Amino acid sequence: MADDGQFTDEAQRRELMAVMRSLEPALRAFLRTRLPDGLDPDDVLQDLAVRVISARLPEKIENRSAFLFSAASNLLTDLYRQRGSRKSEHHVPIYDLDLKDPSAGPEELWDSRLRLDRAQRAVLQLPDDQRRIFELYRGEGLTLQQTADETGLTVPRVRKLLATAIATLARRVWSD
Amino acid sequence: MSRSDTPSTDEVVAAEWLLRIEDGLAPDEQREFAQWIEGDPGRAEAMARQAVLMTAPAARPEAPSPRVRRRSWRGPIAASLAAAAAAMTFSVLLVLRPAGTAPAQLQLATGIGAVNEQLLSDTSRLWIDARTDVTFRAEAKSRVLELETGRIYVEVERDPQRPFTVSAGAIEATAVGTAFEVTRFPGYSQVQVTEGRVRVVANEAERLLAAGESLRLDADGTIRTLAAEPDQVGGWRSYRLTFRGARLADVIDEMNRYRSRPLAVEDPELASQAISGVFPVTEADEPATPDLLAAATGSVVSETADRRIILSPASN
Repeated sequence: MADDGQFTDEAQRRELMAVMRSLEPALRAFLRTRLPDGLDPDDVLQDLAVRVISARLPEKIENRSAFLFSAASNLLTDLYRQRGSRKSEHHVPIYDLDLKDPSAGPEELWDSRLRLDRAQRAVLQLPDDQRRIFELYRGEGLTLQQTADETGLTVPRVRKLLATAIATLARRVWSD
Repeated sequence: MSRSDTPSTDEVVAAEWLLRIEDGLAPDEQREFAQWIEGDPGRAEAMARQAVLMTAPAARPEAPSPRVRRRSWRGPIAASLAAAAAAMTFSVLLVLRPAGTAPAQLQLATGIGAVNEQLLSDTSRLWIDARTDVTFRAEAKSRVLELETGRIYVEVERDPQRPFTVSAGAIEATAVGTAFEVTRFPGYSQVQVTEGRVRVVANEAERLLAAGESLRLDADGTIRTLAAEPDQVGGWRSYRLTFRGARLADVIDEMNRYRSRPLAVEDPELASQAISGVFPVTEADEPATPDLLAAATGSVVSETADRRIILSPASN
């Protein structure tokens, strides 16, 4: 079992590194709008890469892009702390629907719960075809191909429906 | 940002990129994406929010105890039921391929604490226990169910033209119309017959099992014929485990199939202590379960650094 875990960990790390390579332009753009003046997003990206390569990863990463955006956010938070300022002074929203940080203040916790509640209600309001695809992919953990097989739709069609569902949900959750 | 609930084209495209990135981008797609994301700072923001959304718990938490969750939307394909604590991994993978060039094939895998009931394309009924991986193929002259790991119970629809075979590594069970259970656990494989007759090939030796009979093949190659106790066979289908004079180690192996945090017993004497009882599968993951087992065996519960829960003999 222990060997198995080790193996999974390494496979997971490789996959995460592959996603990071693809996502890099988006991470850079995301960091650029949040960084204090005079800091280079590529320095933070470099730190992020080091963490992905060497840090202990959680047992299961639900969504690699989300993991990377969150990790980038955490690096930013550290950076602001080092500079002795609170991130709220900089108006940089850091997205989180499942706050694991025990030091999160009641405001952040409330915000996270509110959005989680919105997300879950919004899923129920999706059009039937989008909701079904979303539940198969997200709820049941099927891949795009498996979702296509299950529903008899093509993969591009599934991707389109799922993307529309995700975009709709995100808009409802962060509607303010 | 607009007040409208309808996402913009950019937002939908952002979500599509997000999905494509999870699957990996080809070099030309990679260039296209880099260009697109630089086009507007809002695009990266949209992607970050959408990505985070994909990690939110999928279902609305049910108060007060969401241990049993029905998933009725699957409707006629399968009634699947997860008896699991909210935090447990629950997964049912279902892949249906239409008949045509390839034979109709159904592939199923269950996670911890999930028991799945399935009507097969030949109208046989199949029950799949937790942590089980099976593939079913119905062809013109045969029906084959490959049991990769875990345990199934099947009520075979009678069809003399197409024998129904369950293949579980070194053991193979073939029936025409009958009900039986096949187990493929790391330590042993077993066939237990509750109705009709089943032809079993274990390590190339052939036997015919009747209702109430059972054959067990241990990992070391030993073959034993045992009685199949009707009230014990397939009990997991109704979410209960029945033990009569079972070894504590075997009971723990069974329970771990439904637990997110495994139990272990290392002391050999304690491991072979016999216990009896009926345990609801739904309770297997309860925090009190280790204590109940400890009380039944006069042992103590402790936790290791790697979060395993160990039962050990009470020190004198």
